[in-house]
Amino acid sequence: MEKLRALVSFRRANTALMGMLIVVCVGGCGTLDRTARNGPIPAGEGIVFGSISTRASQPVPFVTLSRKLRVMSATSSQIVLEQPISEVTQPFYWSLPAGKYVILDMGQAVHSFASGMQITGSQRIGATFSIDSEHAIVYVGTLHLESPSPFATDDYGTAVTEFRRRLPAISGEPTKQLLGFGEPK
Amino acid sequence: MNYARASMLALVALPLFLTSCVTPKSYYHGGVEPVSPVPAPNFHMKELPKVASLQPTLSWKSSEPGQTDFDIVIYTGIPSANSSTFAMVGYYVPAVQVYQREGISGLSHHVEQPLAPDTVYVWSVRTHNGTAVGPWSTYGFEGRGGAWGNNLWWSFRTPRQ
Repeated sequence: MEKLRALVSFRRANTALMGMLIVVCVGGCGTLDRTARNGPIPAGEGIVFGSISTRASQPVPFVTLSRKLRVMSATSSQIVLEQPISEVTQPFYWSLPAGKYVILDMGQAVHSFASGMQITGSQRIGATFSIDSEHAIVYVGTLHLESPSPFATDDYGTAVTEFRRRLPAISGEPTKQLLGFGEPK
Repeated sequence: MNYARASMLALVALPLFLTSCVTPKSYYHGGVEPVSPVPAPNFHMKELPKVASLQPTLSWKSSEPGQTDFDIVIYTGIPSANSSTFAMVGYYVPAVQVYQREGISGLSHHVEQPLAPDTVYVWSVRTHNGTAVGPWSTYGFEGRGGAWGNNLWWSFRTPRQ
């Protein structure tokens, strides 16, 4: 009986540890952080900004929710950026080399520390944007992920005001190029 | 075991029990549904549908009333954001377009150029009536353990050779 209890206890601890690892991995360890800094735009790069709007989730005791967005370079097909999502509406400011990009998907992990249960989900996005030249500043809109079919809306005025407030050292006039949904027409 | 501990255990165990009992369900959007290859019923990465040839024949069914043509598109696939070894399910999202044909008159298409061996591809089909084209068809699902996916394309793996 003691052995059984020890085994059950070990397995629960193991499950909880595994769950924590998954949450950390899915939530993003910041390894692909391309957040723009408040200073001169690096050589060869431009700034892309906008916001992400997701469905609110009710906080549940002992349950953690982590979400992240992934961006792929359309030329190299490599993932270049992972953006953890922690707010219902969250602005983003990315510094990336000039080129074409695809916002691939949003991954989500829900972990219950009480039961060790792990629930994962994924939503394909397929939204495209481009940075046409070095030092370009591009506004791409608000990406809505509340429903299964993503779409973008234009909140240019509010977004630019917030951009100026957060990154005052970056000069230049943003251009508006709303996200495209990059499937063949 | 006292009452409080029993209640706590029930609270923890009940959702686990209920979600493990969920029968996987798929939802198709866009009026077209794949017939072959069809997504695996429980969406486990290891159960990704396989095709027998590098030039497979892909087929579908349509809920569109009347006669319609179709367009097909194939992309290379990359694993979705949370397709880790630990995750119960895995699915692929489109990376690079490798194939597109328009105005297909039947409900199947033989891929006219060889695809790469042992590679995962994602594909979709849309209706095409004159100048009117429908959305690229997608599916969503609720899988075992509460896993879910939205707005996904269909996927398959090619043979080694």
